[in-house]
Amino acid sequence: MKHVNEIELIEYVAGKLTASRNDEVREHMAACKECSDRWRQAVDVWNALGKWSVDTADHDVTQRITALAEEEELSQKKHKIARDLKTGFLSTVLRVAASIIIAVGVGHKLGKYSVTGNMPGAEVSKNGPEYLAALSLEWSSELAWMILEDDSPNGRLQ
Amino acid sequence: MTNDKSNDTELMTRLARGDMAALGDIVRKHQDKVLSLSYRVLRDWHRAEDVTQETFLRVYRAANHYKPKARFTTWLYRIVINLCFDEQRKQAKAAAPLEDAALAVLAEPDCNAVEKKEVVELVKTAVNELPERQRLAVILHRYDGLSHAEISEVTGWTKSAVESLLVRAYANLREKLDKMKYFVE
Repeated sequence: MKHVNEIELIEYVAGKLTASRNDEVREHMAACKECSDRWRQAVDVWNALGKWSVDTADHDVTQRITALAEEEELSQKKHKIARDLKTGFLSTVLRVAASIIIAVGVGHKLGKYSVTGNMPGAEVSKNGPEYLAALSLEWSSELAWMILEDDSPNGRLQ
Repeated sequence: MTNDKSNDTELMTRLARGDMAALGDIVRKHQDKVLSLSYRVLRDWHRAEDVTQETFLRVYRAANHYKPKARFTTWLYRIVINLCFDEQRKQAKAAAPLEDAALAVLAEPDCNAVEKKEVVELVKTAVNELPERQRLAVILHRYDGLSHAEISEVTGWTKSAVESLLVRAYANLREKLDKMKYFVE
């Protein structure tokens, strides 16, 4: 068997080889002094590096992170509501404006035509308004006199 | 491992549904790994905490789009490494002084503790003196238990590049520790 190459030796020490490859390397080590010496050196370095441990106990950032995320979520919600309101209000205003324009346009167009086909014009007032005719009056000044007569000293206003 | 993966996926699904408790669970589960990785890379607790915080906020923001293609931790490490790269770029621009490993040893009163600390400092110094890419490869390999294939996934470097970085890094470390008389006893 060929000597174990460098990267395989490193992964062997780290325990990262597949089970079958691991067995093959182990068998080879047992038979090859050169590779087993290299392995011992690699293990020495590996163990030396293991002495550098990092204590993270004083650096718990869980609360800080969850608080920031909650804050972010809240501001996103507020932003979304404001955006929805803004777009909702704008679309309502546009709809109302469009309705008014359509109604005015249609009304203006249809106002030119009567159902009978003839425009009645201003002839309605020819003989005075109908409510004066109903009271057998010709002018509205006569109606005014009638009202003033009602305000006589015996009237209810006094 | 599979159980762990499905557990992480489950937590991400809960988080995507707006369950903020799931974020707390994810942070509690992974913050030690993220903190120690970013501390080893950046050599500064303040910056390591910032990176950890930003990493988990990115996880939270990505929850809605998260698809469990790779292992959750691989994805998580990729975020950490990218943020560490950003921090290092900022650090290089600002030319901030690094935490001085040697100074930390001086004021220690207890002899055993001094000895122990000196050993740790030797190792730290040896690792920190490596060229940047070798240093990162060794940290991910030795301290975070990533294989060279996983390191390639996390960093975006090719597998052969990672192989060569690791081989050179361990050879350099052996040499440095020898020079520091680490292996005398």
